[in-house]
Amino acid sequence: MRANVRGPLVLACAVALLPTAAPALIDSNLAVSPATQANGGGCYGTPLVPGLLDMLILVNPEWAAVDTRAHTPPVADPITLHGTVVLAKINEGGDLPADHEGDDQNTFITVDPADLGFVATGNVGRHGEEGGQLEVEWEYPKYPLFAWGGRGDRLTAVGRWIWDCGHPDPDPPGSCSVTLSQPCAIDGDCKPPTCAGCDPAGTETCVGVTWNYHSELHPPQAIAVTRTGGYKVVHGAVRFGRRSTRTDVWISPDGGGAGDACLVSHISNPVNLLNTECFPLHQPLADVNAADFAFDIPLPPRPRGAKHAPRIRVLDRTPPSFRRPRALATFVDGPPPRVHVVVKMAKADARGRFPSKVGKTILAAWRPDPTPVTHLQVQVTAIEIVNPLKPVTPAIAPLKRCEVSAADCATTPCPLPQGCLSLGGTVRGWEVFLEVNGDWQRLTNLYAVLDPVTVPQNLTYDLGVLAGDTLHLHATGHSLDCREGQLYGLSFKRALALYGFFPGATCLNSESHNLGTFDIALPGPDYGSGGSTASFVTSSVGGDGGHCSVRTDRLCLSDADCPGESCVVTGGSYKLHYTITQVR
Amino acid sequence: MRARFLAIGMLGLTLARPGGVSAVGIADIVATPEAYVGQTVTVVGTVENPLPIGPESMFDLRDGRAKLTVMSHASPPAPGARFSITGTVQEAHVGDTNENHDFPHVLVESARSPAP
Repeated sequence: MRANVRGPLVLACAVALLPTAAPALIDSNLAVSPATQANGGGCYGTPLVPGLLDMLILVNPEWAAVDTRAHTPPVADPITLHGTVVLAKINEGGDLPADHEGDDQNTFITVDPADLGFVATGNVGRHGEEGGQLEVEWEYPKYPLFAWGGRGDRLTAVGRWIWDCGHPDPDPPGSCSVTLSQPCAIDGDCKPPTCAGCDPAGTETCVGVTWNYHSELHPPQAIAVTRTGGYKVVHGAVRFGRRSTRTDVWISPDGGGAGDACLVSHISNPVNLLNTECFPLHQPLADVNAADFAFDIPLPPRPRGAKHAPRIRVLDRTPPSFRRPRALATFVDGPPPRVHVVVKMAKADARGRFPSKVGKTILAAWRPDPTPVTHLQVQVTAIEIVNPLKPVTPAIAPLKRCEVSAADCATTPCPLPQGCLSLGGTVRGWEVFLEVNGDWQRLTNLYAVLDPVTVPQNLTYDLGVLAGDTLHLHATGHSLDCREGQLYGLSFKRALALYGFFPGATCLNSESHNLGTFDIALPGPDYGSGGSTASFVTSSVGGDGGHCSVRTDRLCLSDADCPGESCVVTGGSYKLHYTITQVR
Repeated sequence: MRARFLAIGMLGLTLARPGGVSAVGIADIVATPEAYVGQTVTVVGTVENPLPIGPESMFDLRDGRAKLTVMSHASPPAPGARFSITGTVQEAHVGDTNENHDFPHVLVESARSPAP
């Protein structure tokens, strides 16, 4: 697609950029305030000592809008958030399948000072984020890899500003209003029989509890990620050895479970969640056509000798069959210099059709730019699976169920046109994603992994690295077990019908297994290449799995895999084979 | 992780072993659940929140401030009744491990009898 470039603009009116105080963090206690809970909004806490059934309230809903303004929950206006990526990964342990169509991709960001008002008190401190101050979460099947971020990337996201109701973390707890020695989280903790010494009439309330709910942007409906380093080659559109700023854009109304009205609506009795059906999802909350998607691309300082506006190219990455809206890119001659982009989402075409899912890649580069850039290629040639992290005995026995009636079809065929589903049993497969300086690819042909095996790969990362930067290789993934291998997109109701109570609960409890950490930073000047080409075999570190204590040649995941022995956990479940080449 | 997996593998299969069952307080299990994972124990408490799920059920068993959710292959007892429940302590997770470290443990019932 041809870019529309206006510029350089001469700003007729100079806008004074006066320093302003950063907004205060939003109080996490507001997540459970009566005002937030009005009309079915907000989160609901659990007792200080909960039972398992009490936990249902944490997903009723799992995400609640922070501020619905004039709307009735769960409807809320989207926010626009700006920050810098600290860490990106999938949710390696997996999510609750009953309200997800797929596992979440989590991007942890350091929020720009002007946007700190979107960060909650619970996001920082003892119960704070794994990195940065706020998470942007989008189910990864909904979020194409080209637009995932990496450490140091700039991010602009539009989406739902929500409380993560699933993690209330009451700390410190409160105390009952009269029986002050009694700690509590909710009023129910201050009533008999939970509190034997409290007022028998049940009049006491819980006061002074500090909730640590996190605020998140979850899910986004539009995201722009700017790679501020050297360059990433895309579609042959980058000149090797020349610094270039790449920005990847993904817009979609499909937010998965967290973006669907059915799944984020509160119901009065949480036990009824076990009998509620929202799948297939059909009530998306995001309206990507309500406004254009506008954001700024920060540019490096204008190099000496670059007299003209930067060269800007817009590449379309919209999926086939979807409308391709225009993206207007306008150079704004700083300071700091930037490109202002507007993706025209709010405009219908001549036939009245609006865009829906949209992808763009925008390249911006000063010409000339003498900044030294080292051109590197990383080629991943294989993944050697040392321990597949599969239990000897599957979590649940194989089941055969008719897809509609859920009748047992192990011996009796299902009435046509119903198919017979194979459930439970051995769960094959790994999912592994590898980034090189924020450029993500998925390792291929891992869907059937069950035994130790070396799986050839043919992944190439082509990038330029600035002096002082590192070559960063980082993987995220897991070995699938029953929960993630089989349950995504199934309501509690459907899962109970298909699996039954105990097998269903056991499958739900069988989380994916930890592959260990793969996170390498190679400094210049050769970035591991030795000045030309170097090959590596690098093991993941830590994670699950090991060998049996006596028969040390036997791999294991747990003691159950080593009858009469124990499983000695060594981690390091895989090795990556790759080559780093400095291209001259 | 190893303990959890062992527990999961035993879910629904464990029967109380004569002589291998210890009577413990629900509060003890709640206070240090890791110490009881995979063990067969007998606890006494009052039934709350009975929830039939097909021919099986879940219910809470309360002893004072502490309570424990029981998963049963049978229908639930009546609320308010006191029961002695024998079963195996299991871990429960339904979401990301790192985020759900405080998820309560459950007791998988293998036997029950009315308690005074």
